[in-house]
Amino acid sequence: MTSEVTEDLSRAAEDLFRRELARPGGRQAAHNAGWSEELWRATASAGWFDVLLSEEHGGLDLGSEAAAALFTLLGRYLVPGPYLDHLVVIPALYRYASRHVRDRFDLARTGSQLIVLADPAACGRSAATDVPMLVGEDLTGTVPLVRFGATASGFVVIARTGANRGAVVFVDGAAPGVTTAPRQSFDPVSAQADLRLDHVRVSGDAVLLPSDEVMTNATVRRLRTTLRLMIAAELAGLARYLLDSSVAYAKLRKQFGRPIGSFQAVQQILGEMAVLVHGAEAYSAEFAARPDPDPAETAALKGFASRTARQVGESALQVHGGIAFTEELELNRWFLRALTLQGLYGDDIESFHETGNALLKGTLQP
Amino acid sequence: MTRTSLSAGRQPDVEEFRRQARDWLFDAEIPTLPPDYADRPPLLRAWHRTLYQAGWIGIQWPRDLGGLGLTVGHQLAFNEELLRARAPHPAGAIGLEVVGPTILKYGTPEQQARFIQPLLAGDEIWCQGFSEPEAGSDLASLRTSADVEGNELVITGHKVWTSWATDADWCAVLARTDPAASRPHRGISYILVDMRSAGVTVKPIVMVNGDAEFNEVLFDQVRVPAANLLGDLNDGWALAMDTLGWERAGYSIRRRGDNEIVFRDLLDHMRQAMEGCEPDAHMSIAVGELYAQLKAFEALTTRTAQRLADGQVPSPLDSLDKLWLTRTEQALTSLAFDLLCASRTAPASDEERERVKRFLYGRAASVYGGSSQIQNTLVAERLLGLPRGR
Repeated sequence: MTSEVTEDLSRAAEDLFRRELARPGGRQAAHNAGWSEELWRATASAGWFDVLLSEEHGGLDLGSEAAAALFTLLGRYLVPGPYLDHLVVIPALYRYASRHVRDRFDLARTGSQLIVLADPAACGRSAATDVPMLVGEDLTGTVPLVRFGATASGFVVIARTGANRGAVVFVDGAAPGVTTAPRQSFDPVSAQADLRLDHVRVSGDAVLLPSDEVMTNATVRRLRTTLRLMIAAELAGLARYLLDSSVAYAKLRKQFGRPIGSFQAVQQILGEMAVLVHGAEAYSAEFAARPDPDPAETAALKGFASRTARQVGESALQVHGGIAFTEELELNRWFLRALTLQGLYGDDIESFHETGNALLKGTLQP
Repeated sequence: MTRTSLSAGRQPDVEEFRRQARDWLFDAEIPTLPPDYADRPPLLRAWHRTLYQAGWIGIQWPRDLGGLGLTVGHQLAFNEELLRARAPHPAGAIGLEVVGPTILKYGTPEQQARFIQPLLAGDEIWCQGFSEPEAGSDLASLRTSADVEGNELVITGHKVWTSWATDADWCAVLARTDPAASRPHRGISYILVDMRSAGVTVKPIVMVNGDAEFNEVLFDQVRVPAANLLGDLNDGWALAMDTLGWERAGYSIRRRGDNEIVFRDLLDHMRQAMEGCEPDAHMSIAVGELYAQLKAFEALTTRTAQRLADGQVPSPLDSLDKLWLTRTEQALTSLAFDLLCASRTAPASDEERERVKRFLYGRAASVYGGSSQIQNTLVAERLLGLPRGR
C-alpha cells in the first residue's frame, strides 16, 4: 500500500520535473537564480511537505522510504529548494510546536514561506566556534552555512544550553538581532548564508524542544540521522545523472572517427562509475526502509554516498574532456551540488571515522 | 524435520523455516575444517549428504526433481543461518549454484531426471571445464574439440583453472564441435562429461597460497554418449553464458556472506588487540569505509537474489555483482593482511596464516569468473549500451 503511494508520488514528481525543466529556459532559470518558484509551489501542492508528517497532524506519514525516493529524484533533476527543511525538519518537529509556531509551519507547508534549519552540526568537523547559546530567553551566537538563510522567513535553531545540553527553538527572520550574511557560492542551487543571532529574545512558545538532555538529545539525533539518510539519497540521484549524461556523451562524441564510448579505456571508466552508482542506489533505498537506524550506521551510508558522488563526478568530468571545465556544460552543476552535499553533516572521511569508531568500540554491531 | 516430512507437509513461511534451520544447526554436528586443504573434500561431501538428508539442500529446486519447491527467501534465510552457525558450505557448490541451474534450464526431461537428484544429494559433485591455456578472457577462442562419431562425442583438449576437479564426478565441458563456424562462438557445444571416463587426467595446480584448489584437466580421445550433450550441437555458447551468469551473480551472493563472517572475526580481533584503548583514527576510517562497502554490496545482492529467483540470468547486472564482490573481497582481505605489519609473509599463528592465504586468494577475485576488465566491458556494452569496442 505505502509503496504504491510512493511509486505514484515519484512518478508524478518525475513527470513534473521533466515538464517544468524541459520548458525553454526552465532549467537555466532555476539554476541562474538558484531557485524555481514554479517547482517549489508545484511540489508543495503535490503534498511533498506532508510526506513525513504524521496523520494526526494532517500529514501522509509515508515514511523514510517514500521521502528518500523523492530526494533521489531531487538529485537526479537537480531541483533547487530547502527540501530537507520542509520535507524532513518541519514534519519531525511539528508535534512539539506551539500554536503560534504551528501557524508558521503551516504556511511553510503550503510553500508560501521558507523556514530553514540552522544546525551548527551540519558543518561537520569544520564545526562552528560561536555556537548559539540559549541562556534564559536570550539566544546569541552564529550558525554558518545555513542553506537558503538569506531568503528564509524563519529559522529552526539548534542551540546549546550547557555542556551536552541543547534546545531547539524557532526564530523569526525579522526579529531584532537576527542578521544574515550570504556566502559566495560555487554551487548554483544552494545559496548559503551565515546566520548571526545577537541577543535574540526567545519566548516560551518559540521553544520546540526544551533544554532536556534525554528527550531533546534523542530527537535531535534522530533528526540528524534522517537528514543524513536523505542527503545520501539525493547524492545517489546526483551520481545517477552524472553517469547517465556521461554515457550519453560518450555515445555522441567522436574522436579518431568513432564514438569515444567504443574505446576500452573510456568503457572502463564508465563501468566503474556504474558499479558505484548501482551500489549507492541500492544502499540508500534499502537503508531507507529500515526502522530507526543507528547514527553510526547512517554515517556509513552518508560517507559512501558522498564518496560515490564525488568519484563519479570526477570521472564524469574526465569523460567529457575539455568542455567539462567550462560554465557551458550543465553537468558541472550536478558535480558542484554533490560537493556541497559531500560536506554536509560530515564528509566521507568523517563519516567513515564515526562508523569505524563505533564498530571498534563495539557500540555498533556489524 | 526431515526431507520426507517436509515434502509431505505444508510449506513453512520464511521465518518459520529460518527457526527450523537454526534449531537444526544448533543440534547438528558441524564439521571443523582441517587446516590442510587436501583433507577437506571427504568431510565436505559428508556434510553435503547430511544437509540433504535433513532437507536443507535444493530449497528452491522443483519438487518433482528432488527439490523442496520453496522460494529464494527460504534459500537466503538458510544461507544466513548456515553462516550464523559458522557451518561450511556443502561440497557440491558448483553443481548447486553454477552448473545445476543451467541443466535445469536447458536439460531434456531425461537429463534432468538423470543429473539433478544426485547433484542435490551430493552423490555427484561437479566442476566446470571452460578456461584453457590459450582461452582465458577470450573464452570463445577455445580449442578443445569434440567430434561426433556415431552416437558419441570424442573430446580432446586441455582445460585449466578447473576448481575442485580432483574431487569432482562430473564436468561441464565447453568444446568446439564446428571448427568451420562463421563466428568462433557459434561452433561450441556444452557437454556433460563423467570424470571417470577413460582419457581424463587431472593435474592439481598449487596456488600461491599453498592450496591446490584448481587443476589442469586433460581430455585425450574421451568418448561421451551423445545423450550428454546439453542443449543443441554448436549451440553451447548461450548455455555457457547462463552458467557464467550464475557464477557471477549466485556465487557473489554466497561469497558476500562468507566475507561478512571474515569481517566480523577481523573486528573481534582488532577489538581485542586494542585492549581498551581508543581506536586509531586511520584504522577507524579504514574499518568504516570497508563496512560501508560491505553494506552497499549487501543491499545490491538483495536485488540480485530477487532477480535470480525471477530467472533473469544471464544479465549484465551479473557483472556488477562480480565487480562488487571483487571490490569488497580485496578491500577486506587487504586490511586484514596489512594489520599483520612486518609478519605479513611470516605469520605467527594459524589465524595469521589464514589471513595471508585469504589475502593471496583475494587477489584472484579480479581474475576468476571473468576478469574485472572483461566485466567492466560487459557493463559498458550491455548495461550502458555503449558501442562495441576493441
